[in-house]
Amino acid sequence: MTSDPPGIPELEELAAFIDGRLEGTARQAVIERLARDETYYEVYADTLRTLEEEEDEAPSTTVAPFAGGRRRLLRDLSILAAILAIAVFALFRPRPVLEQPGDFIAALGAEPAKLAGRLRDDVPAWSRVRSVAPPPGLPAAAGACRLGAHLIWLDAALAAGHGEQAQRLARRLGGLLRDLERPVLASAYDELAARLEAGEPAADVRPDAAFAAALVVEGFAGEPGLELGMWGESCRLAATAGDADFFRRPRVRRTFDRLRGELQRPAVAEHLAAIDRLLRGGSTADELAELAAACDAAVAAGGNR
Amino acid sequence: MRPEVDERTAREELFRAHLPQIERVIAAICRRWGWFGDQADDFAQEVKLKLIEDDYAVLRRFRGKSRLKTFLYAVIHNLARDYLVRRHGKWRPSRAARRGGAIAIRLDVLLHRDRRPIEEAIEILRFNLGASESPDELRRLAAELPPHYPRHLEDQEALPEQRAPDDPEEAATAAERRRAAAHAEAALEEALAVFDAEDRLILKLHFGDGFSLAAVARRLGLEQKPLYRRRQRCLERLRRELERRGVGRRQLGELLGEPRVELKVAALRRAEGNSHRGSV
Repeated sequence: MTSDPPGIPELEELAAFIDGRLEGTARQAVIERLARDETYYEVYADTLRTLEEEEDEAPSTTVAPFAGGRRRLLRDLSILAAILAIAVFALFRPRPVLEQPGDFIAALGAEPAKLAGRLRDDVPAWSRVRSVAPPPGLPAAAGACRLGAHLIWLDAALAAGHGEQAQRLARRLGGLLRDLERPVLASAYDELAARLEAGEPAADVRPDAAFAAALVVEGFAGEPGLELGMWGESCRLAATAGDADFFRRPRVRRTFDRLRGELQRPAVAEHLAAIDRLLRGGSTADELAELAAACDAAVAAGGNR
Repeated sequence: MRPEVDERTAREELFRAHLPQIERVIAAICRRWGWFGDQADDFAQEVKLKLIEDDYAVLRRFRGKSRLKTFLYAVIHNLARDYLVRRHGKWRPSRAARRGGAIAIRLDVLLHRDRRPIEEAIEILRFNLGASESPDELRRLAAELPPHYPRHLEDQEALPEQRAPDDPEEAATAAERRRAAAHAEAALEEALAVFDAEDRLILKLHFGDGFSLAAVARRLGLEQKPLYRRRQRCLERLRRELERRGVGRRQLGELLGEPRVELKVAALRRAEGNSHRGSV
């Protein structure tokens, strides 16, 4: 059975499903539609095929042709090794991870209002939050980490409908982005802050904030500091709220594992190692409090020089 | 500079940043559908125009729920589907042809949409379209492409281009075969309807589109190992459901020639293979 061609929002929902970002009823709704709507299914299958082909093309396994018994054996071994390498690569290929602020907020089990309550009421400057003075000429990695933490705060505030808090956070993000010489992205946050200041409901602004966040994530692609900020801050919120389920989610753990591989700065790596140990432990209130402190320390280390 | 102007600039930057990926996916689609030269250029222009028109409306409506790359790929594949319908109407290459790639699709088009004789199709592919396959290879490929029959009996009247066999006996056999296939297909659709949506999706991806179970597991976020047992259970259940509807081995044999239900054909082949009781 087919229906009307999918529109842009439906295609985005489908793409989110492909990326493994949908859960619960949203995921089930896409599966139901794929099972009954041939048009939707065709777009899905074709998109999957392109992504699979891209991934298959990634590792090169070209083997030079040679002849003779020993050479053939070597060639066969090379091919075998290549196949094994591909198999191992496929086996350990990274599964979907958390990438956007909305992903992190969605992964948090607590209600947005409770989350926003965990934020500092007055949204103080970074120096007050982390007890460290901001260094002049912030390095990109540290700036990105701060950005990540602020993106989480902003999305939590918008999700909770706290317009005034969200407005201050949007202004802060604009300032951070200007410091990082991203005036185009900064102006997008200025615009969001202006809309909130004019009284537009947080719920109406949130989709555009998600778009702006997507631009930031794209703009800082390859900069793990941004993800450290988002991951660490949402972990801190989860641990502070006693949400042990957050840490059991495979995507949360995979994001952390990837970050550990990418972030080698000793100051940060030391905190990540501590978090790793804590993640292997239980989920008592004391352990979660310790985890919250470790996440806080990791973000602070990531966000400073 | 006004913020809205900056936002537009940001979208333009985003589009430019993704242009290489956009062009790669356009090229992949053109290869898959066998669009070359002017046709490929035409499609590429259309996609880019759609992405930038109305002040990058497509990007403006993106909400960041997915990776931008995945979103763009879904949008472009959706545009390709529209383009295909405009060019070929409701006629679609079979799933087998789509799995086989550009040459298989072109061959399917020449043989089953344009109704060209096999030798003429081979000549067009080799000399006009530069196919590197030998005539024998193309004949073997053609043999693997199922013929296109209408989905329902009433649709058979609406296919003026479908050439009826000259021999009356052959024509009667062909009509009987189509009726049996339609009956088995209807039973199969009923049988599949009892499965839950995720099982149906798994069957479609695995049997219909040839994705490995590993790929299905990865893409649906499922564990791979239990999926093998799940597939087995689905097939056994499918066989039981068909038996309840009086569809046996003979009807399945008829269905194997029905091209629009290749998913089901492949599933049924497995079901037959897994039957230990001798009859389905």
